[in-house]
Amino acid sequence: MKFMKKSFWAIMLVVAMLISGCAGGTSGKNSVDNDSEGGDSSKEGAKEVTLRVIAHAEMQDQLEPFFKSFTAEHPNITVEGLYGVDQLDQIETNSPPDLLFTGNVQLEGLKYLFEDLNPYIDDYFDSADEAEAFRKDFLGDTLKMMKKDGKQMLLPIDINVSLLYYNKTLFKEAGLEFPTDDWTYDDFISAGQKLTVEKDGVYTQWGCSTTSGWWGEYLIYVRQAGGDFYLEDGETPAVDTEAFKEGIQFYKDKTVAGKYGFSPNPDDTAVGHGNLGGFVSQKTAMEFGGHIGNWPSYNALEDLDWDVAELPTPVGNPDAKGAELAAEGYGIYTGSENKEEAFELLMYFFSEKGQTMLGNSGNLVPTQSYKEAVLATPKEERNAPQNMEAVFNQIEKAVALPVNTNFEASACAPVCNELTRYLNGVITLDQFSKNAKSAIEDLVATMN
Amino acid sequence: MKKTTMYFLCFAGIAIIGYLLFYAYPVFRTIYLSFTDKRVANPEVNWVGFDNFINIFKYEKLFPKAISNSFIYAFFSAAISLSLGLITALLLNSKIKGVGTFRVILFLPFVIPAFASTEIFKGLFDPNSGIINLMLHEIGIQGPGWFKSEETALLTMIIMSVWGFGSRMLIFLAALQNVPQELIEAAEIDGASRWRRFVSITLPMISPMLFLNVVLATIDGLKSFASGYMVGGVEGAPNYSTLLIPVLIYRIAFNTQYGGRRIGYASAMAWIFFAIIMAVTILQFVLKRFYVYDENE
Repeated sequence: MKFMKKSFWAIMLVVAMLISGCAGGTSGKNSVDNDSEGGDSSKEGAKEVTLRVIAHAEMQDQLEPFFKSFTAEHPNITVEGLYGVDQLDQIETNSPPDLLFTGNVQLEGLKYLFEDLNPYIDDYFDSADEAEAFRKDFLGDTLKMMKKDGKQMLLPIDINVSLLYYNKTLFKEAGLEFPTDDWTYDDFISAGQKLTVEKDGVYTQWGCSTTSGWWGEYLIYVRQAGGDFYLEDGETPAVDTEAFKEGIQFYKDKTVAGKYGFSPNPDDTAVGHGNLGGFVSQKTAMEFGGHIGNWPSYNALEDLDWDVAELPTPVGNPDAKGAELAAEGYGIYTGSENKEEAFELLMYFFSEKGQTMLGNSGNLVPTQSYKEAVLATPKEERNAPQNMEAVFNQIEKAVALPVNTNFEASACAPVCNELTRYLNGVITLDQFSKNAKSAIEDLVATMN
Repeated sequence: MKKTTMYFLCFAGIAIIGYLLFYAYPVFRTIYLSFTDKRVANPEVNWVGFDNFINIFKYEKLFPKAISNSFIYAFFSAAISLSLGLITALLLNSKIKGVGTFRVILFLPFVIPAFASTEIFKGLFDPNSGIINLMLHEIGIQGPGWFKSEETALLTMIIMSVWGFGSRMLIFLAALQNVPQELIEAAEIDGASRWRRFVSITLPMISPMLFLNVVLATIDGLKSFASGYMVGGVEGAPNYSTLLIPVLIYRIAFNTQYGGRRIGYASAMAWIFFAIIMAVTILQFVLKRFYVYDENE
């Protein structure tokens, strides 16, 4: 009996240890070992720290040597990359990363996670002028976009700006000149129609792709028509305004269901009307808007010869602004126990080595120094896209996305769902506006 | 401590701890969360009373749509898979050569994950490049939009779901093998037709298993996630026609794009859904007495 009792408690103890071992997970990784004597030769007595950093999975190959290089210069700091990991899950399960990664679109809803970086920037530099010079090195509004309530939540390491992407091979085959940075809608439509190949109702090549499911294309037309997603108060959806409708009308006219007919209908169900695989398929000559995040996948295709130009603008309105400017960057988690070290690593991203690494990973670092380095290389020696002048010019003309917690949720599903129905001819343009507005309002009502 | 209690704790202790930690605790926690505005990773959690439940009924227009989709999907997929399961079980219960091979072949689809089989079906049913519409096109018929058309998307999902009828068939087969042969033979001697024997003997004898299959198939259909997610994504495209309730709950709880992973709100929706499934199951138990044969009665 005594043996049984002992066995029982022994089993229970083992189970409890196993459970606590599992539950503990990685929570101890942020711990700071102040007593450790190993490591730092440059800073005697510096604490041994392991920094946990969120990163895109596809950046692992570039980031690992970068982190090693950082550790070589800061022997007391080791860096653990959390690739493709959900940072919110990590925080929720008490194993938070020190450096978090997000975009300006999501920042409003996540601002409680981030430490104000301004005091760290001021402390980092020897003088206020140097700190100011660092801030001024960021292009356009990219640094300002990462601010909330006067606090600098993130430092941007990558941006997206809308551009006109084109397949050089298809243009050459059609005997057309490549798009230029001063193209109007007329040039765009004319080229798009010439590049669309159709026989017996079956399309084998499209002049342009159709971006559906998010705001990447339709919002540009809306903004170029003088509208925006919200009214001036930044809260009321503007989907029922005339400018919004004008932009959406052009979006439809461009598709096979509209009067110009040089891009596929997003959900066309007729045989031979599909999107043929989009821009990467090399059966689509242009992409309006696009995303810089796709550059590495475009360049991974050996026979895809592509470049970019500034976005075409409505006829008679060459200054129409519509290109999206969005940024992503790193910030320090408010609950991090290693904030100083995390900031040290964050600044390392903006060293020459860091910016080169980011550039090689397909990021467009929004700094003047990176821009100068890129433009210093002759155009013909650059990888695609070669027309980097257009990229940087477009950044200056681009418009930041609306600052509203609900923008992302509102601009995707509720609008795109109705947009698809409009393009499919299920509803009219007025019904689209009415339905989309109602869907956004209902969505927002459940979120507040 | 009594010896029997000790044995019980030794053998069942780990399972009990596991159950309490991984089933009971999450269940009770979602009850608490459903009364809060909890979002993932947000330290600020406020008690909101019944606001989440009220908002679901008042503003969440996708909720009735998703409920309706889930019910239509569950009803028709259960009806078709039960019918097919019963027919194939009756065929496989006969003494024919190679019956074991047929059983394996018909059961095989059940062991293929729904994510994989749905992906294959998506390829077949693709309106532009799928083999079904291409064949129809060849003979001059314009095929339907299948899962890309608002009108036919849910129907396409139901067709795809029939693929997994093997488990229903197995349960029917087990039940059929327990039907007393002497009853069948006696009826045969009395001149009862094949149909009469089936209706008056086989069906009543397998009715407890039919009931079990009906309950399981309905619950499986109502809580089906993979097919809805694979076909229409978290959007339930096109126009929410494939949005099932589990997908809607998932999208609110785990998709950052839809308002910052609102665990509290999603928990409230999950509990409403649980109440609905419970009500349907109770109704099925009430209806049981009308078609299930009980030897003791």
